[in-house]
Amino acid sequence: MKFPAFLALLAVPLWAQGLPRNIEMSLASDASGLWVVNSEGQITRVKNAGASQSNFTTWEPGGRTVNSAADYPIWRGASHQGRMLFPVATTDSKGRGLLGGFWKHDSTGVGRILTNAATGTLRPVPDQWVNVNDTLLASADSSQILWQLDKEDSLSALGLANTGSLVTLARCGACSLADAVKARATDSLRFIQGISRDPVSKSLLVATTTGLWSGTGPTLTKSSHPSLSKGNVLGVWAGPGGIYAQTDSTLWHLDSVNGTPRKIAGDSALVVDHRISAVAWTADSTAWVLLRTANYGLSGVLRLKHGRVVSLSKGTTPTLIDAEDGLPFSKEVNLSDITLEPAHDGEPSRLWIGSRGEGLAMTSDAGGKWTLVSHKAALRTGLKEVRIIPTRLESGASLVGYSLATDGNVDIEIFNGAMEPVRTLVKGEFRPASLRSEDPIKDRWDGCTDQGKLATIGLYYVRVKSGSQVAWGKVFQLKGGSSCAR
Amino acid sequence: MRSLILLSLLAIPALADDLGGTPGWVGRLGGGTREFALGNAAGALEPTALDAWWNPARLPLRNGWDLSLSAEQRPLDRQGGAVGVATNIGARLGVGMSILYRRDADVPVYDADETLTQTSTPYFMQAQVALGLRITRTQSVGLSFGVYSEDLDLDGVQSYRAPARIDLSWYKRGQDTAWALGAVLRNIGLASDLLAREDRSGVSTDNIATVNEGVIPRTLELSGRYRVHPTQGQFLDLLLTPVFHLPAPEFASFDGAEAGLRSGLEYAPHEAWRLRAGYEQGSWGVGGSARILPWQVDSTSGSRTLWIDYAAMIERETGASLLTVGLRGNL
Repeated sequence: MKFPAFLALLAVPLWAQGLPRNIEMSLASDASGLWVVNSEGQITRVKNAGASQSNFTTWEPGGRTVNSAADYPIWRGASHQGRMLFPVATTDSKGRGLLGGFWKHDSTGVGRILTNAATGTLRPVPDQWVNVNDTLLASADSSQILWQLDKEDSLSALGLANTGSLVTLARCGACSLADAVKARATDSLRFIQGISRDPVSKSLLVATTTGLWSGTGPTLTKSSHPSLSKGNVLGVWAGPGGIYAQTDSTLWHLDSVNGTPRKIAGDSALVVDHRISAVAWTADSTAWVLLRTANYGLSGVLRLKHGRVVSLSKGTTPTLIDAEDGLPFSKEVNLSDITLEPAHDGEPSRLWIGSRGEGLAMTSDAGGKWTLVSHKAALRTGLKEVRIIPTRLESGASLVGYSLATDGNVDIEIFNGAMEPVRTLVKGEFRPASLRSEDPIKDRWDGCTDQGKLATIGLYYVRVKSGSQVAWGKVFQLKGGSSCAR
Repeated sequence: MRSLILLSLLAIPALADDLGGTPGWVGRLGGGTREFALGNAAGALEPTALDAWWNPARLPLRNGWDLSLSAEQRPLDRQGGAVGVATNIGARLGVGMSILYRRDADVPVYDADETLTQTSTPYFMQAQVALGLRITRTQSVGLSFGVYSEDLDLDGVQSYRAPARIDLSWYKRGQDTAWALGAVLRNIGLASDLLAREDRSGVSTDNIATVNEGVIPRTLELSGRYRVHPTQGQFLDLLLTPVFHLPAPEFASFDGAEAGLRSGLEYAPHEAWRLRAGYEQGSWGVGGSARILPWQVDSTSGSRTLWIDYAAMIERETGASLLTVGLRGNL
């Protein structure tokens, strides 16, 4: 335990209707709150509805409260088989949220979202990328597409990471994105792996398989440093604390575009084992780096400041921040994105971390206390209903949702069809009275039995007991295999 | 007798480990209103229409056709039923078939966004055909051939069918019917190692195929029945059935074996009435039967009989179930 354990108890789960939580999330924030979009194209905004830090609501940009994630589909084609959709959420220099998507498998671009936070206007952009001028407004985003916005609020993509090309679709008119990619591919910049924009020098930074490139004009030049001029640069992230560039074996820090790369100090092995997937910068030039292993097996957050790994609190070893350090997610969580919501309207700035399937984690005190915000419906008062979410347990773990009329100790057990006990999840643990009580980490079933085997595919029964009250839910265990690593 | 009754009320706690998936528990729940009320201690009863399930060796020990139909409503919207038919063929052979059925009504299925995506009604069915051979006047053996199927009623998930399995059984009763013994060895596979291996697959919403495999536990049920003070039309039967589940991945191995005990009492205060009680691993059953054919209570004449059965069950985990009824008859 690298972090005071009791702080984990401060991770208070909140319920927020309408927050998409099922698929990989992309996050962005602006002066009016947080943007959340998932890979099914569902968008919601999250803002604090009250003076406290405990009343988050979700709403669509037009101001209407979103009642469910399916209530406001932005684009729905993502559910098609064979999809490769990158969700995008970012903001432009005017504080306007931008969202878009890209079909990779057939190189067909689909741009959809443009909104003005001040007016709440939400306008879809046509499926073709049109009327683009040279005014660069947006910065690189989590899905590594560099967005460009023109005066007419039309959206275009300047850089397309992962597709192997850097293109400028300026004045492309009615041409399709696929045509433009094909026509404007630059051989020397093939296999772009990341792009960013340095807020100080305004340089565009491009990480490629042939090195790190940068420039402020139409011509990009390769870094002169040997470590960044030949090898594979996996990504580049620029912010107020400098520039970070990841290669196959090292995370480099540059004070400026023309600065000398230095290896980060601290536990650099963490970086070798992990890929950086997103970075959020705080006002004190700290970079919150979201890491995950190549197979998405483990993920966590690293704090970097001026090229050095720093710990959450004094006296502790700086290392990867995960569930043991108070992040209100399960150990197996896949973290998808991280963003900093700036201070606004008298509220403090907040750091948000999105997850795959487990909601959002928020901190407003640099990781001292984390709050979980996830999509939950209020259940009936009292222990009358148990919802298993998702009811089809196909991967990871399913959440046991219930409500308690009064504070109490809770037992949660799983039974098979013969009502024989299969697994005890929780025994006599305290849960507060709530329309939606749960412990987001413990109140989950991963399909395993008490003996450490994966339960056979089939229907199982979940019993929640609190005092004399009992409620049941049902779950379909559909995970394959027989091993159960816990 | 007192000690026997006390013994019958004891149950060895099960050490549940590998339960063999759904085919395992559907079999453990058994079938038949009368049998539920007896705590499923039914392996040494006198011949019934559900012999194809409970003990195929009893199939020849009858005269004419026996029919049974039962339906149950358990807590948590669980429903089930059993159908059985059995008859003798000559003096030495008997045949029968039975179907055990279970389903869960209207299971709400939420996705990860807590959106209700469908309402599922999964069902599970086990059917067997059986043959019994009388080898002496009081002793017989039986064999049943069973198949299992289920449909989880989930979009994109394939239905499942377990391998066919064989049950072997034996039955012996005393000359004066005061006692009887039965033994049933269930779930013998048709593969060379005699194990019934199940593998079940599905396709998830992410279009990912899932498979898991296991061995359906062989089950050995040893049953005894002892009749106390039999008089004309009146008796008290004590029933005891130790059960051993053998989930081991080798046929001759007892690794991971678990044991349980089923016990029951059947009291006949009158030839047209029955009262029952039973106990199995924390669950209680009580019930009774009334003969509705022949209609005259005192009549024992006529070749056709029809009984109406009722059982109430109290499951240790879920509570009372008051709606189990059945019909049994002999034609």
